[in-house]
Amino acid sequence: MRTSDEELMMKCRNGDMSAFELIVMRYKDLITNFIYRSIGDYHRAEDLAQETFLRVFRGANRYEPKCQFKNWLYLIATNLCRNEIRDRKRRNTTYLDDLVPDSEEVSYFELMQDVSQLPDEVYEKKEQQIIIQQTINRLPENQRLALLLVSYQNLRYDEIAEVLECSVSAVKSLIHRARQNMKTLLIEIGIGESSHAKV
Amino acid sequence: MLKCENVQPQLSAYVDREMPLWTIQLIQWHLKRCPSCARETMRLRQTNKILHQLDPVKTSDNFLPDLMRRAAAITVIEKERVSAVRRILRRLESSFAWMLYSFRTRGRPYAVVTSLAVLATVVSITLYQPRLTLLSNDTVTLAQAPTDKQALLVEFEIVSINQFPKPHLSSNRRTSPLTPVDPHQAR
Repeated sequence: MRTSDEELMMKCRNGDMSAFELIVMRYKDLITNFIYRSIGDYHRAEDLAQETFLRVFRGANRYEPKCQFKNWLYLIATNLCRNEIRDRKRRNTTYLDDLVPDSEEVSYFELMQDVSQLPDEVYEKKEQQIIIQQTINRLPENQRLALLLVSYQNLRYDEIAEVLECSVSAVKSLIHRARQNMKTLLIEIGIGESSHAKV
Repeated sequence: MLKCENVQPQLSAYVDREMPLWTIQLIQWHLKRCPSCARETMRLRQTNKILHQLDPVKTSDNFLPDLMRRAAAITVIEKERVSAVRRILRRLESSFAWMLYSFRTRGRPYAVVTSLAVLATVVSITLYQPRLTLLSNDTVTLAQAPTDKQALLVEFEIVSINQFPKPHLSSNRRTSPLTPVDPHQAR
């Protein structure tokens, strides 16, 4: 039987390191992905993911099982992402990773392992992924976070509202505007213009 | 019947199925009759599909060992912090040990006397008010003067009178406009 996150956190509160390890194992990829898609820098995303889990570890004493653990975890990650985005804006920094995504090597390797695809197709797919990531990076902060939470983390609107600390109707509006902006930007680039889709 | 301007803001929630079933039915009914809203829905779905093309990234192999090492370091620091607090408390305990010892050995009278002494000290410190030093009788004290300006004015007058030369009694002409005029002399 799978132990719930809340139970693991209660164990972690009592100093059980294996419970904390289990929590990290469950969420490390999800959190790293979320942060990576938010800021577009793989190495920094790993650092921030570690910071997220360390904050969870430090705050275990204060954790109340009333709220869902997952939402609390995403709240911490979202706050870290916000700080990072604002810091970058303030410094007006362009990281080398923004120009050439550093997860590229890993993804290329994974794609090349798929023998069903030709190298040209692999390259094309990779190029498209870079464009999509750059388009996501162009969205406003809150819209980007809401869209990532719904699209990649499969969170419900009420959960996103808890993470972003706003109302459900605000989340609905944020996601709608994010999709509209995304759609416009993708059409500008030349991706996503087709009329064959099921309604 | 739903209108396009009411349906379009709801389309994203419709795509995510984040609405009650009856609203979904209503929107579906509208989409069958409205080609522009149907096209909009299709575009939103397509955007979603494009977003899902991104491959998930994986954490590096040393992510977990690094993290656990850092977490263990935090535990050690926390323990040290707790032990530091305990050490301070122990020191405080030892410094007050003589007091506790005398309370225990000499009993209630000693405790009552000490408490009264502490209380008296606190009350006397609270009630103590230093007296204001009064200035000489000729000058106006700050306590008497309603304002600082007035006190300064009085002082100025005294100084100014002292500085003027004494009036020449033989002549009728006043030397200073401030010198009081003697009515007999003027006549």
